[in-house]
Amino acid sequence: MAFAQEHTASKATRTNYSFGFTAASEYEFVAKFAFTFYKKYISSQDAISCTFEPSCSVFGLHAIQNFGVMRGSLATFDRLTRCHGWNQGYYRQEPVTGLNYDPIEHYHAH
Amino acid sequence: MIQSSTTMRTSILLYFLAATFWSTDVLAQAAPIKNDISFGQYLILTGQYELAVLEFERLYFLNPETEGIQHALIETHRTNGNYKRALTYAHTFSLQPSLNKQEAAYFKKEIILNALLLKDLVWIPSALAEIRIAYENEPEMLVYADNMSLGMSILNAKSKNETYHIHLPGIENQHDATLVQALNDWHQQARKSPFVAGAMSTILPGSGKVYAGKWKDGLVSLLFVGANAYSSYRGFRSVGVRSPYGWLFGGLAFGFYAGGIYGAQKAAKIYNHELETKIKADVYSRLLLYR
Repeated sequence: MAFAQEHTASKATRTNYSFGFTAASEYEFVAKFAFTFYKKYISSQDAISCTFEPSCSVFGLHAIQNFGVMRGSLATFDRLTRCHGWNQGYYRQEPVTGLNYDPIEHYHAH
Repeated sequence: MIQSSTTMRTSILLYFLAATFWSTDVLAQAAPIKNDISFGQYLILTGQYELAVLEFERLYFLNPETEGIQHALIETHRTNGNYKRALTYAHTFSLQPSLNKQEAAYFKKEIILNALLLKDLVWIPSALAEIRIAYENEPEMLVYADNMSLGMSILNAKSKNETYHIHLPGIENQHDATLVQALNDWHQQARKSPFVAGAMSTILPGSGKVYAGKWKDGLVSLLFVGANAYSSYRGFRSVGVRSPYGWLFGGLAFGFYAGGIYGAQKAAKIYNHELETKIKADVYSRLLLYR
């Protein structure tokens, strides 16, 4: 969880992602590697496009860490379909970034 | 010479002593020090609530029998946001054996109000039960207790059919219309079934989200599944079963399809939660008006 919290970077700031992480299992290693690779080489080259705070990639990492591989993956796919420009009014706005606030804790509560 | 000097010193000392006692006496007569709540009330009037709390705490420490100090302490702590302290004082004062009925009712109502503000609802049922027993011949207090009980039954309810409310005889028609409306809403407003939402998304991707009130999410879900499934179909049709695109987009289509089913039942649960939270928020703000 600490890894995910460290990487819950606000859209307003760019975090310098590094592959120097530790993982408790093979799956966690794959998930963290994919997340870091995406953040370091793909997401960083793009303009802000995710409508959520935390972003879909961070949400996916949190979901897998909270729910496990199966439910976490389902929650991530669901989040990706919710990430579009028409969802204004469905969520509370994050005060700093103005993005839709949808942390894993909200999803976890239901 | 020595004798004269000693006499002079004695005279000066006596003079200062006399002057000191005289001046103290004069000051005391001019502005007698009063340990009453008037300065604290002034602090409240001028919006200095934190200082008012300190002043009332000081007065209560000096003399717990000071007139009006108990009400002032509770109300100032409450106004200052110290609900827990106000609740503790109200509870402590309510246990005094010499209270008249009016005073006892005041403290009980303060216990309930501060418990509501603290959102520590466990205090309320016992206070309401005591009010019902102690004021069985006073309709005003019974109506208060009954309305509060009605509101509490909604606040504590965890599902549509779970509201438990004791209707007291003789005051059936004196319920607060807002609370009655909230109770009707609680029972009558349609909830969304997570099972139905999931089943609908199983049959047609996105339809469960439309059912749960989020038609835009449903439309996007349908597009995601449809576009990936179509890309997968094209890959398999052109290259056959060994098509990497077919498997890649097929996997994505399946992921979005399964995620859509999972998300639809979540959306139904969230819809129900938001509906119930709104009713409870209305009831809560209504109950805070009861003083």
